[in-house]
Amino acid sequence: MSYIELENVKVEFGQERTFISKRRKVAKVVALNDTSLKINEGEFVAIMGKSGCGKTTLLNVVGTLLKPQGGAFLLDGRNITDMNDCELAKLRNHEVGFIVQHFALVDDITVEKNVALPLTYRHIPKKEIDKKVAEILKRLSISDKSKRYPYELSGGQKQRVAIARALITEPKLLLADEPTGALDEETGNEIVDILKELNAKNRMTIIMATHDKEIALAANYIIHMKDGKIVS
Amino acid sequence: MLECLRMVKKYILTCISMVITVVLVGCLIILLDEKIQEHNKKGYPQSGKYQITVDIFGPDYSAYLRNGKAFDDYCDLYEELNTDFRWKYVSEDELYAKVESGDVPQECFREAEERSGGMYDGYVKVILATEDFVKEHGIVIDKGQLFSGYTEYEISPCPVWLGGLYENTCEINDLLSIDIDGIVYPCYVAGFISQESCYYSETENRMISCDNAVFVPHFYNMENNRECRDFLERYFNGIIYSDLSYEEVNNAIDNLQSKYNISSLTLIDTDPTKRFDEWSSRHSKMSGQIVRSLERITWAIVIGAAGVLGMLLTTVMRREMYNLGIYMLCGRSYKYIVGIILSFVTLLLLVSDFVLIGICQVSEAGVSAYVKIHAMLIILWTLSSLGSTIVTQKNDIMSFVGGKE
Repeated sequence: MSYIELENVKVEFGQERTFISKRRKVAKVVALNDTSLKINEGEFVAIMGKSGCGKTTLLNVVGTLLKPQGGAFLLDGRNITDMNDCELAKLRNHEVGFIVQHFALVDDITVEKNVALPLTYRHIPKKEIDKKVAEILKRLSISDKSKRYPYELSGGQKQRVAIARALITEPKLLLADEPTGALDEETGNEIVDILKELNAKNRMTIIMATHDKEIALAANYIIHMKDGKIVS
Repeated sequence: MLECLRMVKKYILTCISMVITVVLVGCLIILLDEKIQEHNKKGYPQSGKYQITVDIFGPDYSAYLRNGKAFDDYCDLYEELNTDFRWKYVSEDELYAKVESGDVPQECFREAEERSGGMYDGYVKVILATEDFVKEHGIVIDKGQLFSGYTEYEISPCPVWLGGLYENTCEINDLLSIDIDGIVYPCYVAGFISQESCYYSETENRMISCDNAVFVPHFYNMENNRECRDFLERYFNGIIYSDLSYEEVNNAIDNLQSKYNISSLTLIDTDPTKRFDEWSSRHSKMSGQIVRSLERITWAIVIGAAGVLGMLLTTVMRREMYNLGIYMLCGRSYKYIVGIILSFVTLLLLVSDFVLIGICQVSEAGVSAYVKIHAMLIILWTLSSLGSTIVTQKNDIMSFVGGKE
C-alpha cells in the first residue's frame, strides 16, 4: 500500500449562492478534477504546472488543510475524509511539515519561538522544547539567529527557519510549496540541498510544488498538472 | 489561549479603542437611563408643589401660647423645614402691618372705610419674601438690589422692597418704620419691584398684586413673647417645591410631626391635575415621548457601537489571518482558530464590563442601568462572534499563507 493514495479527488471553489431570493451564480473554479495519485513512503516528488493548475490545492489536500469534496484520500492507510477537524489538526501537527514560498513565519515572535510553535501545541515541557529547538537550529546553521525576529533575517535565513519549524516535529511527510520561489538561485539551491539531504538521510516523504525545472530535477520524479488534473 | 494574548499585545491600541468605544457607549446608556428614570419619576402629578400649613386652634393654640417648650419645638421645626436638602420651602404669607413713619402713597393704605373705627388706619400690605420666593414667582426688581442673605432681624435697619406705587413717594435708602405684629422694625428702601407685578398665591388661590406691597425679608423673631408666637405660626404657611413624590414628602412631614410632636402640621397636595389639567396631560405626554426617544437613541447607539466594533474587529482579523493560517499549518484546528477570535472578543468585552461596572457603582446607577449595560454587552458579543465567525469562514485562511488557485 502506498503512503499517499488519492483517488478521483475533486475540489471546487466558489458555489451557487441564494441572495435575497434571486439566484446569483458565482463562477466555479475546479481546482482538482478527479485527481488520482499514489506516492510511496520516502519518495521525493516534484509537482510542476502553470499558476492556478491546482498544485497548491493538491498540497493543501495532502496536508489535511482542505477536505476534498469528492473521491478518497488515504494517508498511511487512514481515510482522511472520515476524520474530523480536531483529528486532522492533530495529524498535521504530528506527521506533516509545511514549507511555503513566503515562509509563513509569525513576525512578532522570535526565531526560536517560531520554530517551537508546533511543539507548544503538544504540551511538551519547555526544557525539552528548548533542547529540540537548539538542535534543529544548529543543524540548519542558524543558531546565532535564535533571538532575532523574522523581519531581521534574509530570505534564505527565513526559509531555513521555516524548514526548522517543519522538521522540529520529525514529520514523515514534508510539503514544500514553491520553497525557492522567493529566493535567489544560490540560496534556492541551498534549500533544495537541505531537502535532498532530508529525503536521503531521514527517508522523509517530500512533495514539492515548483515552477522551476532545475529545482524539480532534484526530485525522484516529476508530476505535471494542468487544469486540476495530473497529465503525466 | 496564548495566541489570543499575543493578539491583544500586538493590537493593543486597537484593543484600547474598542474598550473605550464600548465604555463610552456604556456611559451614554447609564446617562440616558438616568434621564429616563428621572422622567419616569417626574411624571406629573407625582411630584411638584405641595402646600404646607399649620393650623393651631382652640385649646392647642392656648397651650402653644403658654408652653415655652412648644415654641422652641416650632422654632426647630421651622429651621428644619428651611434647611432640608430634599426640598425647597418657600414661606408664603401676606399680612398687614402698620407704617409708623415714612411716606406712603394713599392708595397703598388698606381702605380705612372697610372697618368702622379705623381699625386698619395706617396699615399696608406686607409680603414676607425670600430669594426663593422671588425666583419661584418670577418677580423682577426694577431698581436697587436683592436683600439676599438678610436673616438677622436684629441688624437694623432692615432692607425692604417696595411695590411700583411707592415710586411716587419714596426713593432708595429712604427710611421707614414698620410695626409687624407689635414689633417695630426700622427699615430702609433697598429697591423697587417692577410696575404691575403680581404672583399667584397657592395658599390663597388667587393672584396678588405687588404694586401696593412692601416686601420684607423673611425672618422670624425668636423672642418668646405672644407676638412672636403668633408671628412664627404664620411663617409655616408656604409651599414645598420638591422632585419627590407627594407620598415621599408626606412621609417626611409625618416624621417631622412625630419628631416635634406637632399634630397641626399638614401637607396638602396642590393637585395640579385639577388646576392645570391641560398642562398636566401635555406634560405627561411629553414625558412619555421623551422617554421613548431616549430609549430609541440608546438602542441606535448600541447598533452604531456594534458597527464600529465590527469594523475594528474586521481590521484586526484581516491583519491576523496570515498568523491564524500559520497556526493551522502548525497543527491548530479550525475550531481552535475560531476560538482564538471569540476569546479575543470576550476578553475585550469582559474588560469593558469591569470598567462599566465600576462606573455604575461610582455613579450609583440603578438596576436598570446594570441590566441595559449587560444586555448591550451580550448583543455586542453575539454580533461580534457571529460576524467574526462568518468572516473567518468566508475567507479561506490558508489562501493568506499559501496563495489562491
